[in-house]
This record gives sequence, C-alpha cells and structure tokens, in this order.
Amino acid sequence: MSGETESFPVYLRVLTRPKKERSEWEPSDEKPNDHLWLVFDTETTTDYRQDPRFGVARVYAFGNLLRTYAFYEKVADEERETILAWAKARGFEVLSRQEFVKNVFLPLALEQRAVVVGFNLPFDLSRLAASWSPSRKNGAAWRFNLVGKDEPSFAYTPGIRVEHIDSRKSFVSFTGVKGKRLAFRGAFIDLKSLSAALTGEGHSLKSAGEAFGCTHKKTEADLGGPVTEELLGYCLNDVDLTVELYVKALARYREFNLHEHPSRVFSSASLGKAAFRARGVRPPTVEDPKLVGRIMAAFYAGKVECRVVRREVPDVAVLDFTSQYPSLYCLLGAERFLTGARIEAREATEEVRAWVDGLTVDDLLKRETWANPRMWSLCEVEADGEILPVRSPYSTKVEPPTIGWNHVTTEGGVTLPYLLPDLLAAKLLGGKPPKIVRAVSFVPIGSQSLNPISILGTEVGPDDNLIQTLSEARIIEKGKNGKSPREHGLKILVNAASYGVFVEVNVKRQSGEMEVCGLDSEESFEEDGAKVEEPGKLFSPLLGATIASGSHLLLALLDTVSAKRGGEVVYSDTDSAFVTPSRVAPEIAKEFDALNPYSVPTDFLKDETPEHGGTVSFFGLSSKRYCLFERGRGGRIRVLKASDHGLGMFQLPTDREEFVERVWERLVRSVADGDLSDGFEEFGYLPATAEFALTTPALLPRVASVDRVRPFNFLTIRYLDPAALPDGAETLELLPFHSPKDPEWLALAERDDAKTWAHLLEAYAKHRDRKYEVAPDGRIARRSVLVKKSSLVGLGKEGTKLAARLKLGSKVAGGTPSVFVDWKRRLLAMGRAEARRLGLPWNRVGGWKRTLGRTGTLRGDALKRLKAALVGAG
Amino acid sequence: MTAANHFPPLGRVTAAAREAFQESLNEASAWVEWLRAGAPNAKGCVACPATGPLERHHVAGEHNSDLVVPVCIPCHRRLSERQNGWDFRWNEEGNPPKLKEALLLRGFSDLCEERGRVDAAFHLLGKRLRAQSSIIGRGAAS
Repeated sequence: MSGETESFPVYLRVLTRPKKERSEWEPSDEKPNDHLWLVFDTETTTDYRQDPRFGVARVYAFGNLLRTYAFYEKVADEERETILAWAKARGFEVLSRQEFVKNVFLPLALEQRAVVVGFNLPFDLSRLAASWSPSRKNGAAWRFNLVGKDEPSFAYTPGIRVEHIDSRKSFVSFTGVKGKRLAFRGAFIDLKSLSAALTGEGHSLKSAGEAFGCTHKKTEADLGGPVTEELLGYCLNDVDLTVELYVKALARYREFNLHEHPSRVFSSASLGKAAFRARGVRPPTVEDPKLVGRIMAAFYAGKVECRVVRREVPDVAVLDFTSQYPSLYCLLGAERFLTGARIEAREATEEVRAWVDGLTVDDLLKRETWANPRMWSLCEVEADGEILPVRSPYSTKVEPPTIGWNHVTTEGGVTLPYLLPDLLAAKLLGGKPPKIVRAVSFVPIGSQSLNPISILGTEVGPDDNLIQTLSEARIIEKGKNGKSPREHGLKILVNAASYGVFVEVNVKRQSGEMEVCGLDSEESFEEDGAKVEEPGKLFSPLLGATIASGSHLLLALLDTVSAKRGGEVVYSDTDSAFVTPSRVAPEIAKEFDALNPYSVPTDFLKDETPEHGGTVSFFGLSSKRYCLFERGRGGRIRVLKASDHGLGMFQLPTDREEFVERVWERLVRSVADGDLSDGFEEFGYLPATAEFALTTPALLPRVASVDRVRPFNFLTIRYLDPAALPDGAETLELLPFHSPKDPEWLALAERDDAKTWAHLLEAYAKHRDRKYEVAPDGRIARRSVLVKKSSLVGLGKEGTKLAARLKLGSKVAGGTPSVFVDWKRRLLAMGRAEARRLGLPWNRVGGWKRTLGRTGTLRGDALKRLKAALVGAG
Repeated sequence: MTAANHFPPLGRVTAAAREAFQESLNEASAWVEWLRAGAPNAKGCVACPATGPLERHHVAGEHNSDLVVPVCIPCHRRLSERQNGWDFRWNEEGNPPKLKEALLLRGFSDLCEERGRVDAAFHLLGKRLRAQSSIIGRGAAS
C-alpha cells in the first residue's frame, strides 16, 4: 500500500432521465425491397479534394443483373470519350452524376425501396452529393444534398443523413423533404459494417472478400492517372466484388435466422439484440429509478492491471477464461433476470453480511456459490482501506478518469455502492470485505412467454437459456469441426449478447431538465442539460454491472489461487492473466474446472501462451502496453505477442506488425537496461501523423484552411513537437491526405516543428498508469484514496467519438462525457471555508446564491466556474 | 386456452398484414424492373407459373419497343386481347417517343394485372402504371 492517503475527484456513473419524456416519430412502414439492389462504387481524384471522377453502378432484381450504369463528374473531354466507348462496347448506359442521381439512384433507392449496397458507403454517398451541411436534426451528422441548391426541385428532393459512429459503422438514412416526413428511410447496407458484424473484425474490401471466400479479387490500378479502360475495369471489378461479397454476407447472415433487416445490422451487438428480440425478450426493469441509478454507479467495466512495470519477468504463462462474459451470464444465472416478468428488490442487509463473512476461497470455486441469488445484491458500503474499484483521474490536474483497484476509505457519512461480487473480490484481495451498511437483493419474479428460435442450426426452446444453449453448441461444433464459420458465428453472437447490450445507452441532443440518479444513495437531483442518454432496447444495468463485477471476482480468485500455488499474477486484462512461474499454470487452471457452467466438458480457464521454443518473458509499461517475448542465443529478443495500444493510430509506411515487434524489441532492450540515453533517434525519420476522415461537421472549422473538403474525405493529422512551439500553441494541424508510401510524407519529418516517431516512442516508454504508484522493485503499489462527499462527481456515458478524441483531443473532437454535480444544493449550503477551499471569492458566491434564490438557476460563466470548482474538488 | 390466444390484437394483425402487402408490392416493383430488362434468366412464363411452350410477347407492341418477354400461349392470348383495347395508335408505326413510353408502361400494367389476378399488390401496381401511362399518353396526344 502506498503510504499517504490522497483525495481525488471520484466519478460515479449516473443515470440521467429527461423530466419530460418526448416521443420520437418513428416511420411505421419500412419494409425495404430486398428483391432489388443498387450496388455502386465511385473513383475519385487522388488529390486532397478527392472529388468524384466517375462511378459504376449495377442494378439487380431477384439476383439477376438488369442494367449497368457508368456515371461521370469531373473528367476531361477525352476521358468522357473513353467512358462512352468503354460503356458502349459493353451495353452500359452512361450518365452524368446528376442524371444518375435523379433518374436512377432516387427512383430506385427511394420510390422502389431498393437496397443500396456499397463498401464504405458514407464515402461513396458523399461523392454523389451536390452539396452538404450539418444535419438540422442532429448536428453531429451530415446532410448530403443530392441536387444542387439552384435547382427548383431542391427543397422537395430528400437528402441523405449520415451519422458516423466509429470506423466500422455509420447510420445512413434519407431525410424528409419540405413539410413532409418520409415513410421510408431508405435501406443502405454498408458492407464494411455488415462484414465486421459477421466476422467480429474490421475489414477492407480486399480482406472482406478473402474472409468470405469471394472468387472476385481486388485488383490494382493507377488511380492517379487518366481514366482508361483499365481504370474503368478496376472500378467495375470492385462493384462485382461488392456484389459477390453482399451475396455471401447475406447468406451468412441468413444462417442466423434473425428478423432484423441487414441494413439495421451495424455491429455484432446488433446480432445479439436481434436474437433476444426474436425470442420476444423484454427485459424487466428495477422499478425505482434511484436504485437503478445506484446500480449504474456500481458499474465498473473490465479490470486491466500491469502489476510489474518496466521489469523483465521471465517464465510466464497466459491463462484465459473461456468466453468469460457468456460463461458469467450462465454461471450467475442472468437469464432468470432477463426473462423474468419483473424484478423485485428486497432489503437483505443482515443476510448478505453473514453470507459474505462466511464465504471462503473454496466456496467461490464451486458453481453453487455463483448461482446463489445473494450474488445479485447491491451494497452500500463504508470502506476502511479495502481494495475496491474507484473511477478517478488520480490527479489534481484535469485528466480523464480511469478505474483503479485501490485502498479505499470513505469519509464519515459517505457510502459507496458496489455489487456483491466486487465486495467478495475485495475480501479475497485484502483479507476482509468493507462494512456493508445496507444491502438490497434482487429477485426475478415470474417469467415471460418466449418464442422458440433456431440460430445457426441450433434450436433454442422457449424454456432454454439462449446463451447457454448457443455456447454449448459452439463447444460441440469446435470439438467436431474446429474453427468453422458456424463456430465463429456462435462465438460472435454469444459474446455480443451476454454483456455490452445490457449497459447500452445512446447520447442524444435534447435540451431540457433531467433527473440525475445514482450520485447519492438517497436523493436524485435536477440538472439542465443539452444531451440525454437514451437507454438501449435491452438496457438492464443490473445484468451488465453484475456480470462485469463477476469478471473482477474471477480475476481476484485467480490471483488468490495463484498465490496459494506459489505463483504471481504479473498482468491481467478483463478475462486473462499472465502468471509466473509457468509451471503453476496447469494447477491453477485445474482448480477452476468446477466453475464450468456448461453441460459439455470444456476448460473454463485455459493456457493460451503463444507458441514458443524456450521460456516466455513478459515486459509491460502500463495497462494494455506490454509484450511477450523469448530470448534466443546470446540473449536475442524474439517478440511473440506485442500490443500496439497507443501506437495503432499513427501512420506507418511498412508492415505494422513487424514494426511494432521491432519497437518492443527496442523498448525491452533500452527500458529494461535503464538506458534511454540515445532516445529513439533511429525512428526520427518517420513523422508522427494519423489518417483521419472528416466524419462530423464539428470538424469543419478545423479544415477551413483546406479548400472545399467533402465529408468523409481522408485527411492527415500532423502532430507538432510542443518543444518547438510557443506556449499554448496548437500541437496538431490538419493537412490534405498524405499516404505514408509517398516521399512527401517522409519529408514531413524534416520540418522544424515536426513530432516524429522518436518523440512518440520516448513518451511511450515513459508512460505510466496514474492509477497506481510503482515500488522500487517494479511492482505496483496501490494508492490509498479517501472518498469525501464533496469529491463525488456524476459521470455520463464515456466513449463517444473515441477515435476522434484520441487523434484530435477532446477539445477539438468533442464527445466528452457529461459530468454532474448537485451544484444547487452545494451552493446553497456553501460557507466561507468551503468557498475558500474551492478557490471561489466569497462575494461572488453570495451573488450566485442570491441569483439562484431569485431565478432558480445560474447561467453562463458563473455556472461554468462554479461547476469547474466543484468537479475539481478532490 | 382463452379467446385472446386465438385472436391476436387487431393492431398486430394489421401491422403484419401491412408488412406482408408492402413485401408483395416490393416484389411487384422489382418484377417490373426485371421485365424492363427483358426478364433475364426467366425459367418460364413471366405472368404465370407455366413452364410449357413459350412465346415472345412484345410488351409495348412491336412498333413501339423491342422489349420482349417470354409468356405461355394462354397468357399471350390474354395480353394480346388487352392490347387491342389500348389507344388505337398502338399498332401504328412512327409513334412519338412519349406515346411509346406510355404504351410501354401500359404493357407493364397489363402484365401486372395478369399476375394481379392472384396477387393484390401486382394488381395495385398495375393500376398505378396504367394511370401513369394514361398521363404520359395524354401529354403525347396534345
């Protein structure tokens, strides 16, 4: 334990509910025309504007090719002649972009409800646009106008709204027209999303084609040269590959036997949600919103810890829990809660205290203990140095919060909410659980009447456990056929359906009063806000939070069992842990056999150490930043597994995997030897840049210097060396796209203010987790955190626009989570001493109090300053 | 079992019926697009399930469009009878393009109505196409 007790702001995830429910209009009659497909691809100029040059579209009915169109926009006269001759020879129709939009795209996609198919569809749709603007309905989305503003039909022609969510998914729909909503929003299938949902990994058109076994192969062409027959053939081949990929992806999706239209499948989670919907599951909710808020406040995601920092740890083994979240879903009996008619909350303080006190490690290695209904309890605790998860910046500076397992002490009168598995984990890690002041147990009452379904050839009866049945089918399939597409499909589905969907909330712009629940065990408070969090269809925080806390308990159990066997956990991440010495791994794994929740034999905890010749060593810098390697003759390092966390977004001209291995080899050599004297100069020839697409209108002001950039254009972010800049200057700039394969890209490293890979790696090598301190022997020392009432801050949804925030910083990208404090009550109760502590002038505080009394609220800078002081008060 | 189990709520029935009808309408719409392309890969008569001897039917009449689709002999007879009830100029040469377009739509309308004898969505689409044909045809006449 670190000696000194510290106090930082402590963030609790809260539940926000609008005071006035607003019903949103939903189109009722949406059936897309699956018999009719419009598949297209566009080619663009290779300069920074990426203007459309030409495109090829094919129309299919009942799987039969009907017509092919070639359309053009920005081509020279000779190039147009080439297109005309090429198209004529093949019987294709040639149109201008505008004619294509008016005479083909809109009649098919809107009037005939054809399915529009493409790969990275937002990019191609933006090439069809005549103009664009931020969407009026949703400022984070684009509106593409398909006809020019000078045309009389402009106001009566629907546009396309595209909201980018992440690199794999976007929501695309038609907008309404002047004075009229559309009954049909369009059916746009982006194969980038669908292929990622079906395979669980991101793809390019080339890799998706390979993953689905397409006979068409992606070809190469000189995209920067003039329009030639070869380039036109390249585009046509892309369309044919897209069609084949669509047919194969659709066939794979149909095996899931789900009702959701493929245009509504955005990720693997969509598959999970569709499976529950097909069963007719309507998750029951805990009725009291304050209690639901408190459950949200007890929600902590996966646990990641690098226990030994900047030291080489020889002889480690990797242990991994088999499908941890689906297994926990089954082990804890979550299905009863999901399919119950309602959930009842019962006061159970004494009962829970006695049960927790009596439990031993051996009990926790039995399935019956996990299936005990008391596991589903929410406890209010007073902590006195026990090891519990705390979400905090662990800094007095403004930093994003991170979750650390530290020694927590609560100030008198303050209680923190935890789900029972987290308290059991605290007992295992620290010897005793915290004092349970109050406990509420949840009990499912009754059951819903469910539909039988068949998914990937597995029948699930109305009384069966969906996740258990599918997981067992997967284990059997794997035993019979190895890693087959069916086994992979089942794996994706059970993983997607067993955790994340229960804590899904979507942030929507909606101004008005909202109720914030969960920050205090007794009371909620009101707050004016511009964003509301809309619960997902399967939102059930009791399930999500209990399953996540179960994963913390499993890791604590693994820790305890390892220690008992003479081993040590040196790294853990959610469902896996690295243990040394490796010889104890089989004994540890064996102890967990009894927790296998399935009726078919499988290893609950399995050894997943990468293939190696000698002994495997571990080297870690911080959470998620580590490598596994072995030493060859003369101590030569061979990297077996390396994480590129924190480096993945930066552009590279060479094979990323090889490069990252080289980086880790270098890191192990220099950091472990303590020799960083020469820095990482050999990487100084590579500029620190990242590829970025103009995905949201919020970034438009940033590209004002780049002339007329279309939405979804690729740009390059060039990072600048702060040491070469005046104080407070911007540390990045947006440039037209530079491919790392171009010599101009390398030249970026030669500029005086350039940040290079040498700078990146130097910072990378020095990176530490703020959440822990490090002892002289390299082991982490857990902090001692004092939680005061005044340091509690409510936190909204984390993780929107993550990629953009990572690349551009949250100031530019936006999407920072909302924070909530009960500022009205705290302002009214504020005395001189408190104001002084917060650094607020007392006369100002008096004025704010009078304004609050008179108008009921505070606005503008006054409110901003007060909130900043309250949020930062650790 | 109670009556409620036998009769699902009316709202649900109408939603399902509406969805089924929209599905048929979608199929009809795709079917017309398929006909417009000359019914590629047709396995039999385009207007009925017959796979027997087939004839080539000029959808808009041979003077107005080259578009032909395969139909069985009884369907062809009925479609030809329908064509005899069209604008008297349908069998003349040198018609203006607008009229040709109107007659082509009328041809699709007839084919839809042939299939519409067993499927209401096809019948509805046939009527819509007929109305469109009529509007375009009137424009051509003036």
